[in-house]
Amino acid sequence: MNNKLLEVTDLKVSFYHETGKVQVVRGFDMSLDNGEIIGILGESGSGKTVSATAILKLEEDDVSCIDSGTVIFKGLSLLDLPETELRTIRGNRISYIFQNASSALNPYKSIGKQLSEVLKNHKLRYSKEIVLSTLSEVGIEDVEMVYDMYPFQLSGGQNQRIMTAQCIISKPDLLIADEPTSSIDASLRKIVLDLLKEINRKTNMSVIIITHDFDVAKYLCNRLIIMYGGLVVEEGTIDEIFKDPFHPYTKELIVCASSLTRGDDIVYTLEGFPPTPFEFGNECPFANRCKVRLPECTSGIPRTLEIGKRKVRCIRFEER
Amino acid sequence: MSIIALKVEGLSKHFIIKRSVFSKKIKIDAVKKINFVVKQNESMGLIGESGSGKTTIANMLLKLIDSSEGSIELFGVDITNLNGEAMRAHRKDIQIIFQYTHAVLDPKMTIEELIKEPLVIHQIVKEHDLDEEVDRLLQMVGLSILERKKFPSQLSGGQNQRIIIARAIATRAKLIVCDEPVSALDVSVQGQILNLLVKLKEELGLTYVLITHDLSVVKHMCNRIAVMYQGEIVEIGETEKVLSNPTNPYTKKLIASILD
Ligand SMILES: Nc1ncnc2c1ncn2[C@@H]1O[C@H](COP(=O)(O)OP(=O)(O)OP(=O)(O)O)[C@@H](O)[C@H]1O
Ligand SMILES: Nc1ncnc2c1ncn2[C@@H]1O[C@H](COP(=O)(O)OP(=O)(O)O)[C@@H](O)[C@H]1O
Ligand SMILES: [Mg+2]
Ligand SMILES: [Mg+2]
Repeated sequence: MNNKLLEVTDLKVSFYHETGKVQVVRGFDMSLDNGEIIGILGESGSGKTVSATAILKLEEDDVSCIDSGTVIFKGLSLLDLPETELRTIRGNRISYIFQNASSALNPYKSIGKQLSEVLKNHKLRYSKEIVLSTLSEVGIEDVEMVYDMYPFQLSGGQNQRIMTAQCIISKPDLLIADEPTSSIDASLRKIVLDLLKEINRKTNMSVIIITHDFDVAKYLCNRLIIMYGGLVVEEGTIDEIFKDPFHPYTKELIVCASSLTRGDDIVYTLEGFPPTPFEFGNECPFANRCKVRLPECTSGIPRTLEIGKRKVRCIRFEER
Repeated sequence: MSIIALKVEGLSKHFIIKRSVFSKKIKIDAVKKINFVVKQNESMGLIGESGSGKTTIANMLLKLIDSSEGSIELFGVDITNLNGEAMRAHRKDIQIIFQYTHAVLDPKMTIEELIKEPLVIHQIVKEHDLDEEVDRLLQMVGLSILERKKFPSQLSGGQNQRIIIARAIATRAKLIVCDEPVSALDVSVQGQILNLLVKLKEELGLTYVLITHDLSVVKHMCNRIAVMYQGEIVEIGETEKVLSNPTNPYTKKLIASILD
């Protein structure tokens, strides 16, 4: 039986700049089963959001360009579908919680109207009750009042949860959640994550969650993808990655996180900055910050190596 | 004797909204008669549930919105009702650092122009010293002067967060309100930014009001915290005491909501 929901292969995405085209995602691969929850972690600017939005072709054609890759969702090749057909999938079978919820919501429409439209546009069963109860599921108090309010009248964390409500109301097969709890406190974070878990259990909805919060990843995900410099550098199960990280970047990330939670006076950090797409070269993007660098690390982008069910892009794992 | 940087007394903000043409107006009490004091060179954390009024307080402190009642005193000067020219002299003393997103920095401006902007608006240095001042600020926030001609899209999220910080300290601000300064950044960059904020606080004698929902950030940065719930400060005190021995039910719930 084929239980595959989504398969993304060799995705490459560029943006247009005054100076020309610059590739920001240089290799993104992912495979997701029905009911699976996968996390994407990585340095800010490493291409998490760009990869995820490309799956649904959310960027305008004059801004960015998908250079290569295939996205197969339930047997459909999404990148080849005409825009009219994609629209029947977006917000319906695949929903996307945007990172910057306050600006992603429509400023001119009330919350109630925006949520109702999801149901009406996709011809799903609609009633005001469904909208109100979805709002209360994401921890919104006073739902009757919020129904008639506009995004600018709500706080950052409230808008973020309204965006979540808007995305789950259609009962999608796949939810892509880009930092869905970055603007809310710990108690609400738990409410939102528990809700996603519950929907996952009841409806078998798959989730791709982009987060930099290790606790969120551990709480929710089965598998993790780590990105750096526009590439997937590691993939494995949560346990594998936290107990025995392969990639030197993943190792550093775990040390940084534990220093912050431990409350060290000076937080342990990784020196230097990641390369920006303008600086991408034909080498391992992490080479300049890597403590175990080899001379060969700067000749060529390391290929993805499969080690059992895990994947890593580091030449230290090449068989010699 | 320590100097009082910020004194807030009985500060409130209510918003009026009208649900529809026919219905009654509704009053939302976003902030209700809050009081707090922040001493110079101290960092006060402001934590609390989503929608409890933290950003609204920040907006009132920065005078981006009017307060409904109460007073705000900045280094001994009551700025509550100062406007226009009278406020001008004080506006540069208090700055805000927002959560980094692509939207905070104008993508069409170069790094150099972005840092010059506050310097020119507040006439901080003479025209012929501008270039040198930009270099100095870049170095202070740990960036190379080679970044001057780049655009925000050519820098990483962590580097852009440093540009936002450089703009805030450019005006020689004494008090900086940070609204979720690291929540958009991954952990390795979070540490860099927190260390930078601590370093600048020591070097420049800055005072911070730091809004965050991340308790480890508060523990790291703040000697005192105020916990907000539904527009009120429900608990305020030394960070360690409040977090190790919370008395308010909401604070207790917050500390207990650990994911495991
Ligand atoms: N312009 C406005 N009109 C009406 N109500 C508003 C407006 N701005 C804020 N509010 C209300 O004020 C309350 C406090 O909002 P605020 O943005 O200060 O919360 P916050 O503590 O910063 O929350 P978060 O942690 O989610 O960012 C909320 O209930 C919000 O709905
Ligand atoms: N609208 C845009 N225009 C130009 N460059 C962009 C745009 N959005 C993202 N980028 C660039 O693409 C790269 C990856 O960004 P993103 O996917 O948002 O990173 P993250 O991993 O933090 O989600 C970054 O270098 C960023 O500057
Ligand atoms: Mg992102
Ligand atoms: Mg806020």
